[in-house]
Amino acid sequence: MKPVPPLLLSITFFILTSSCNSENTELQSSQFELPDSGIEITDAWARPGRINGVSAIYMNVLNGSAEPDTLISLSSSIAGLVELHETYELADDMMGMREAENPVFPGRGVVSMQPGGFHIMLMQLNQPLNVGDEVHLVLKFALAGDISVPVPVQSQSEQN
Amino acid sequence: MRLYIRNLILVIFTIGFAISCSSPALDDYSDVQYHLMDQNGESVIFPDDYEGAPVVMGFIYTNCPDICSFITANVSKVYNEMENPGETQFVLVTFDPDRDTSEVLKNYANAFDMDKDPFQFLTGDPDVIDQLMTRVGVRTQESYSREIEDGERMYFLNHSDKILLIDSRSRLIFDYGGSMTPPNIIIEDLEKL
Repeated sequence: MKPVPPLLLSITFFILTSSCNSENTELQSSQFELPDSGIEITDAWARPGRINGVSAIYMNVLNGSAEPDTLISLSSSIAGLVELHETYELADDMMGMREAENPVFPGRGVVSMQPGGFHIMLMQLNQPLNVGDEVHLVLKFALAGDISVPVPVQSQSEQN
Repeated sequence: MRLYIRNLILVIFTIGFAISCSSPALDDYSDVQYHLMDQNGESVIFPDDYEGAPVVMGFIYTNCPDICSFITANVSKVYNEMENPGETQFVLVTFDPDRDTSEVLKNYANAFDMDKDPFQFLTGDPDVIDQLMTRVGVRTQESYSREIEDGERMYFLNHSDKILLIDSRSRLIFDYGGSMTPPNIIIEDLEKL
């Protein structure tokens, strides 16, 4: 398969993220103060999950650098598999979920991962996640390097 | 006598008007019986056990942490935002019965603070669930599959995004986008029943 130019992927990722729901667009337009440089993660939270089950993490990724950055990998000690996924709409009122490959985070921009759009999937949980627990997630970026984020598990009913 | 006839005409006209103003049924499930099981392992029959009060019914699978959480939370919000829910029943049915056992559904319900009345989470024999999903128009297709270490297979499903409103006589009255429909729309329709 022909590789996708990073800039095009970046723009596509930003547009897709913005269009997934109205909350994302609103957040990106006005509500963030970007860091002077590097990447900052804000408002991270995870859904509860059962052992051997799945969970999802949502967050805002603020890239203060002028350069776009690429997410290389994700890891967490509580899950066998961690991937960036996106929910998308298919024909005939069908909804689907797929892995987002080689996501690029635009320079001086924000990618808002919210329910109904992009989310970090935790699969094969090796322990149950209950409200009040904390998950440690490591995001590895090409330029910003490893960023470790504590992610609180929050109630499902409060978040949707 | 004249007054009696006039009143009779008025009653007939009123009943006719009420019938014409109510929403037409999209389907009638009273000709079928699906033997299912709730999150406590109790047997239930749909629609027989639900006749007599409206049902808000959503369709989910618990390995879907994103969009199905919306659908589940939407059903919860309809109940929480109703001023007078009365006997209305709130039901979520899995279309992944191989993995979503009663126990799994109970844990899932707990995570949403919905393992209590008037909520019910249903699973069943895969063939029965398949027949039910066909009847209610919920489609699924496997979208992502991966072998995991212990030889098990992990998979995700593309699926219809749906909440149904069924009246007290087992008739399908409204069919909504499950994750997209604001709860107040469903509440307004419930009040019309």
